[in-house]
Amino acid sequence: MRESDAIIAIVDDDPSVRQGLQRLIRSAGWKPETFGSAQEFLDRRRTETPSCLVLDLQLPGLSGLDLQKQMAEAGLETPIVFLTGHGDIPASVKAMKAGAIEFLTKPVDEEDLLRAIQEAIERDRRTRKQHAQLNDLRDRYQCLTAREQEVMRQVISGLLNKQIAAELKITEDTVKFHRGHIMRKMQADSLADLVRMAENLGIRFHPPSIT
Amino acid sequence: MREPRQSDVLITIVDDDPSVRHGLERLIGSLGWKTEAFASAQEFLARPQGEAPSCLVLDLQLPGLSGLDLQKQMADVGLETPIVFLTGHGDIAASVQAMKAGALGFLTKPVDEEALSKAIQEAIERDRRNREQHPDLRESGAIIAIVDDDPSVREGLSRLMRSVGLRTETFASAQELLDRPRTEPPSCLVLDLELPGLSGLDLQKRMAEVELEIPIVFLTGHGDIPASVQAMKAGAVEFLCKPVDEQELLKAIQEAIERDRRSRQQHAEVTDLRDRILKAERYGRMTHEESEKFADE
Repeated sequence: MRESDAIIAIVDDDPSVRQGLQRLIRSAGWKPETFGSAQEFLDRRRTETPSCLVLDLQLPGLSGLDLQKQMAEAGLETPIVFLTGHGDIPASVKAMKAGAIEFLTKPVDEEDLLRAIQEAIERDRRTRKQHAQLNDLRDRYQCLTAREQEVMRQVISGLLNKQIAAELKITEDTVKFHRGHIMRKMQADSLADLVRMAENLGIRFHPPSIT
Repeated sequence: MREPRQSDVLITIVDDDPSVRHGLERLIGSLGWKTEAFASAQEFLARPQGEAPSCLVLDLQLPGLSGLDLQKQMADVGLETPIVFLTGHGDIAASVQAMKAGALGFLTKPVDEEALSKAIQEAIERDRRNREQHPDLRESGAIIAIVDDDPSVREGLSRLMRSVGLRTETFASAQELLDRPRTEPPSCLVLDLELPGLSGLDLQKRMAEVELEIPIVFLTGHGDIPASVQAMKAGAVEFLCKPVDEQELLKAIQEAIERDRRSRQQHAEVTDLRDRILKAERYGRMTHEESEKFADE
């Protein structure tokens, strides 16, 4: 099933190629946007981010590989499907190493291209979902008080309440109280869940020594 | 007066004339270098694995593979031992071809002792620079597995790896690699595309299925874009074409070793994370009394 709201950007300096791709992509139920050069694509009015970029290799000005590099540097994660009439192995390897979804050669098999775009859309959706989840998790962590964050770091390192209490010079009951808050605010079902969240947040804490 | 020589430097001579071999061995030996001599290119390629020579003094016309053929074969597998040609039958075309392909010198017989000595010194200097270029590879002590059905490619690659201090294992087919006893896993796999039986891409797939995570550098003479894209999509570190540039290949191997190191470290961290989760869950299920005891452990 295709999501008709997915925007597919096409960058190719050949108008007839742009037109053909536009028609094909529209017939597949997606929304095409076309650009004659990498610069045109970068200068486009930022409305909605495309879910996939169908990119030519040889372009006037910035090449397809240059654009891929610039996008990576700018943190733009739109998945790229290269489509070229002048590719060689080193170019294809470079593109794939830099994270392209596919590298197809003209004349392209329509089914191959549509499959690659579908894959790009799926990857884009996963990336967006992961970003959203991580943001959500960060928000929750930010809602913890400084003390709760401190206790959480100790909890996930496997310290027992008693040890945390000694470490922070508070009572065990206070530790338990903080733990309850942490679990609720982080929406963690179990300690294992909390440890995984901490891992996703990149929080590490190594206890000085467990005595 | 001659400057003192490092006698541990090895100079290899390939010439089909026994008296020339003998004369050169004596001459080069008297200049203070170690020598070894072979009567043909094949003999040289088939020599037991040992110390890599710092210079190859190579005849042009040889039975079987010619000197130029050998130079090309060595270049194909990225073996950069500096070559000094020494021939009685050279012409301009041959000398131009040899020099274009990177030879350090092209001398004619009868040989001028000074000229030969100078050329060999230059070769040793270049070889020393080559060897110094990859201290990181040398330090890693990594094992590189090479899968190629061409024995001369396996041999050449193996020598190249050893020349920068890497350990190697060679296999003539994918099956041979899969059947290899599980000891220390290699850090990188240099893999040919077309192989008898399982192809390079098949092997990559099979390895993924059995979660054998050795980073792969493809090295092929018959690649095309779809094959390279398939290999890269499946996670290859690089996809290089023969004849390969030695530096490019070593760079790819360096990257593979680095990736392998990171993935081993991640495995260790995942194991650590699992331990912590288990510990946390175990503690979570404990009664107060049990946890008191646990804390005292």
